[in-house]
Amino acid sequence: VTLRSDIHAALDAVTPPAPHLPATAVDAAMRGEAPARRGRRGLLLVAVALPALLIAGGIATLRTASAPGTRAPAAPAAQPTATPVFTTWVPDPSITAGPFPGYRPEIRIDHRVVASAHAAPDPNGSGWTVVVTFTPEGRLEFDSVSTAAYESCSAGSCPESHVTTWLDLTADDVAHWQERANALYQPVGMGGKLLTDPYVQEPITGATLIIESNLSRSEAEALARLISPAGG
Amino acid sequence: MVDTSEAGTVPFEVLLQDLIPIGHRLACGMLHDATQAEDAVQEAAIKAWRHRARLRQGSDPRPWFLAIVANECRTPMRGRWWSTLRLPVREPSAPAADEAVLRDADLRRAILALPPGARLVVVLFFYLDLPLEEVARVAGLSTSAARGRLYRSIKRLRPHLDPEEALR
Repeated sequence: VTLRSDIHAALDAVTPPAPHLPATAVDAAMRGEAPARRGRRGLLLVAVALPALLIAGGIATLRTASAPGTRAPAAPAAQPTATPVFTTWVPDPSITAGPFPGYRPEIRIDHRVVASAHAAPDPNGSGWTVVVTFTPEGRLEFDSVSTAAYESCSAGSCPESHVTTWLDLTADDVAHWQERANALYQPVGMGGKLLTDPYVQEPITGATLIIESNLSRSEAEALARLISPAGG
Repeated sequence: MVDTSEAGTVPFEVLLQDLIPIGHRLACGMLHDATQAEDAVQEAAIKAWRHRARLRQGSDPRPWFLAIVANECRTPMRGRWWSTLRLPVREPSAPAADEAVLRDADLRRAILALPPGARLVVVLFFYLDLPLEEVARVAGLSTSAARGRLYRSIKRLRPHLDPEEALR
């Protein structure tokens, strides 16, 4: 048995048939839009039914709540166990590494704008979400950042349209982006500092941000603990 | 307007449709998650369509498209909240006594543990069965660099295996 045949056997097990994919992917490409994905039906319905403002990237989706958070914000005195940092992407011709060659992240918002974070059931689906409530200052900042990102592209996604969320990204990391990009731009669970990298579909003007995905309850609670200024 | 490629004879959408299955295999090999893989391929198709003018007429579209898929595979790995926390890979349930299933699961874990660049050349060479020259083009490497990366990856996957033998 060769390594090649072993790899074929191992990876065939995680490669299900997808006979629909050539037609659906090409059709979506020609229309210039991503097709609805599994697990996103509820989100799309919300987008239609409510004046919810969406930013989305892949399955991970952030959306503003249609009403303020239902829980009182935690006291922001304690430090979070990890520091959420929001960045946008700015041109830098010297950068050749990372997800967007020619761009480096720019730290725009840090954890001080987060008043609270908690896990909550997704009212539009079967999973769980993380509800992040901004301070008044954070609300204004996020509004400004997301509006600028929204207006940066004529259509779809470009690097400037992304508002990226990290854990513990530092100014030193940004200053050494060329050397560190590939290591940092990995999920936290894989040794990087990245949480999510959606692009902005609509400006985020609410005080509350809901992070949606197919999260389990424990996953949502773990994320909320990481983000919460109260450290969980 | 009909977009064509390869000497202007094949409509681009037809070309793209033919490339989706191998792109899907690459994405599955890289991500080990069917939903993420489909998303990556769909995003890659959209980007390929947008940038179809960059594909030189007469050039081979396969490495060009696979490079886009490979890049998109980095996006779901980095971009989803749940992937940051779901550390154990969810393996399909299988009888505990099935040695082959356990061996496959171990190998998948070892492949997933490779750095993305190393994983890419392994999947391209050993799973998609691409020649080394095309592996290098997709990965954006010289042939010798791709060979070196494969060599090191083989040593990580099978420390006791002679990489030269595996590369034959």
